[in-house]
Amino acid sequence: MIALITFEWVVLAYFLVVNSFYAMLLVSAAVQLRQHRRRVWQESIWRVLSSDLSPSITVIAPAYNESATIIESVRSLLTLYYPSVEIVVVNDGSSDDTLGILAKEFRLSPMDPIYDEIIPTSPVIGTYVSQDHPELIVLDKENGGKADALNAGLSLASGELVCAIDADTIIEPDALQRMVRPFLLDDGVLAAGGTIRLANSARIQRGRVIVARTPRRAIPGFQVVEYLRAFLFGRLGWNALGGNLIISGAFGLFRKESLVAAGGYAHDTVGEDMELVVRLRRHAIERGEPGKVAFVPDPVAWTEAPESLRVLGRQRDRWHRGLCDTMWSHRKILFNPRFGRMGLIAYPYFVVLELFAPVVELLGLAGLVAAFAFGAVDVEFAVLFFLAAYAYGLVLTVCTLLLEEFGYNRYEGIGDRFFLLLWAVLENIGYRQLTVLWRLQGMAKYLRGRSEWGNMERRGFGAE
Amino acid sequence: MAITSVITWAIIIEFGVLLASITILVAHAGWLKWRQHHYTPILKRARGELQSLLFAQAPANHPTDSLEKLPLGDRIALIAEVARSLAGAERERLRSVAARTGLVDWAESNANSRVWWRRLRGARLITLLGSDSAVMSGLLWDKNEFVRSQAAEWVPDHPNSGLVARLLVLLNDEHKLCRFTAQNSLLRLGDFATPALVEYLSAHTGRRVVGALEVAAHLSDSRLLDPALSLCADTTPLVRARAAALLGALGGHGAVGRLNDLTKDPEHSVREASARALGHLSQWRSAPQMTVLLGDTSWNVRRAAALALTSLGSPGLVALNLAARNTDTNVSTIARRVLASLSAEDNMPLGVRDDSADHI
Repeated sequence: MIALITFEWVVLAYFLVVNSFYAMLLVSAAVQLRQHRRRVWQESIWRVLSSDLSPSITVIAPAYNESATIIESVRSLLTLYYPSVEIVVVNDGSSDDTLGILAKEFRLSPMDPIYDEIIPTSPVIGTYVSQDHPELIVLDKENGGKADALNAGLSLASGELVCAIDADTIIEPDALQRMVRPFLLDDGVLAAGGTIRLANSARIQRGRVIVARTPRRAIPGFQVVEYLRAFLFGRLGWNALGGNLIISGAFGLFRKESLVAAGGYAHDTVGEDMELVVRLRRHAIERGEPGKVAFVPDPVAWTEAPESLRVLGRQRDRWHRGLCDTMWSHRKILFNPRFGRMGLIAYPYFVVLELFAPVVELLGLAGLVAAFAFGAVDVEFAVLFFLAAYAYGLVLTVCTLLLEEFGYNRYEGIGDRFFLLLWAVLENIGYRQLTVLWRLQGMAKYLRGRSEWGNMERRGFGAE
Repeated sequence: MAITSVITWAIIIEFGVLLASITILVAHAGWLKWRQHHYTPILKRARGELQSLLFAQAPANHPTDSLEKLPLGDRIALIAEVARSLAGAERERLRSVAARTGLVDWAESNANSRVWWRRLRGARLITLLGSDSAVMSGLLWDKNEFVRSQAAEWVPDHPNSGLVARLLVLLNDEHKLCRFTAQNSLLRLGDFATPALVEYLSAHTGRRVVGALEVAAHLSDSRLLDPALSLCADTTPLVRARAAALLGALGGHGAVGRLNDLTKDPEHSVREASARALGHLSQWRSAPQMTVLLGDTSWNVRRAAALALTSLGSPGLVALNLAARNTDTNVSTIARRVLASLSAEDNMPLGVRDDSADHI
């Protein structure tokens, strides 16, 4: 009984630590956003960031069975505003007609580029260039997974910086101009991440998101709120604390030289985006370099969130497996002062407050049920605590919505704001608990040694 | 229990914050809606006024009532939106409109502020308008790197030798953004900056000339030949590589000979740069040197040499065909790959596999 009560107090302490950290991140994010907005106010990005002296960029887009969205995605890439950009779409052994659609739409013809296969990958079947858009190259290869496809693109890339995106991502036209800023501010920056928004229910024309809308369906709606929290509050908050350990695979910009030196993307993990950033930073710090990763709140890329629980569950399961794998693979960083703030703050945060969070939540709930069963809990206290926890989470989310409102205001309609609030209120009643279950599932699978991706089903941009 | 009352208070505070936040959210949304409804017609009229003043040769005293009715932020946004695509007389007219509507005074006042972000706003607007402002020169020495960088961006609109000299100093600023902006501004200055650039490159050596060499490679002015030739002997490999790239852009007497010498440099980056440069110059006399480089230890050097041979015409092709039969696999492999790619020459993308000095 005493052990049970003690355990409940431990869970309470954990709750206080987690939420204190979140509050700190929120304040940090607000300060960062204000500073950033001041720095970019009326900035002539055309004049400076589109200079001939700007670093060249290769955009690598791995594609696997993307026939529904590939044309829109590639069109959006072709209209990016940047002086020197090369686009490499890697068809990773698609079983649908992704390559055929590309060949027809962009009039591809064979080419024989001369490049060194810096990182070994599964065999390349052919390389093609568009006759209409010479900056577009399509690499067709045998299936090897996303990491393998990215590495193949990396070998072919001629840019000083490489931008890795998912083929179903739509990038804002001036995104690269904005994403290149951290590299122009600091030589120690290895990688920069951008904000990902969800395009579900958005109005899309010719590969561009014209109007963002909050989904009226619950599942994508909850995810919109989650993404706003993750990017505007989480990643931006970590900028000042030096703790960005992840750049979304949907949109990230890396120094090619650093990527290659670190060995490219890892095959043997399903969380290659986080694993890569941790490995990049670790590699740099071990060589005595700063190893900085920046997050830029401005550039917006849009992707499609799963609309069914089944697909969403698989995604969250995979993400948590990736987190487990990364944290275990690089455990040497944990509490290691050699790695500075990454080792002493960021890594412990991700281990204790992200990785083990679902375990603590489950044990906390189980403990609470047991305490009720033994009559060891004060009902009034339990109800009040639940209300306090729920309200606190809601405060953090609504504050994030305020950051969005005053910072970017992409959801312009009154109805959109209403639904954002609605999904924020309802998120913690059922949906959050589901994500806990999925994450636990992912953890269990990781411990059992399973590493598959699962299938993502796509409705296509603009589908209602 | 004390803890219960603490939690109760926490809940009250949380719900209070929640209520306040939601109220702010709703109020802001309502305010934006009202604002849009109220100012959209004014903005439309203001655009019309601006169009008349800028393009329809309206008299200088044409009314600007709608412009003046716009909130300051919207007025600035409208002026800034138009300013970016104007030059010459139209930009001058825009400046006078901005002056009439109080924006120039606002910008000057902010540029003199003690707060960095206000100085930055003032400097940005002055730059957008292309105004001549005494305060801007002083901002080239500002303690904040963003303000300094903004002042550097302004210089090409109002150049003088003193400001160009300051840009050259900023090429070695501690902040990368300042260095980058200074380079970009020197590039935009073009011919005006070249004499100062020549003098700078002639007088300095080592890492401090790297930024200047990168600018020089884009300017490609023959006056830069002598310093380029001289800097090919610099002790810093990066300087030699940049000097090689510059020679590749300039050509001229002595360039090929010096570049041929650099193909024997102990640093692979210098050898690669000289191979690319020789490829740009398409001088058939460098074919023997390129052939030697086909067996280099560095893949990038071998590639650059092979691609350079393709630009030399027949002598280059002969050399590649001979190299394809070489017993050294490094040599034969790269030669065969390049020859194979030439057979699909019609499909080679323009500029995609470009070996310009930009990528060194």
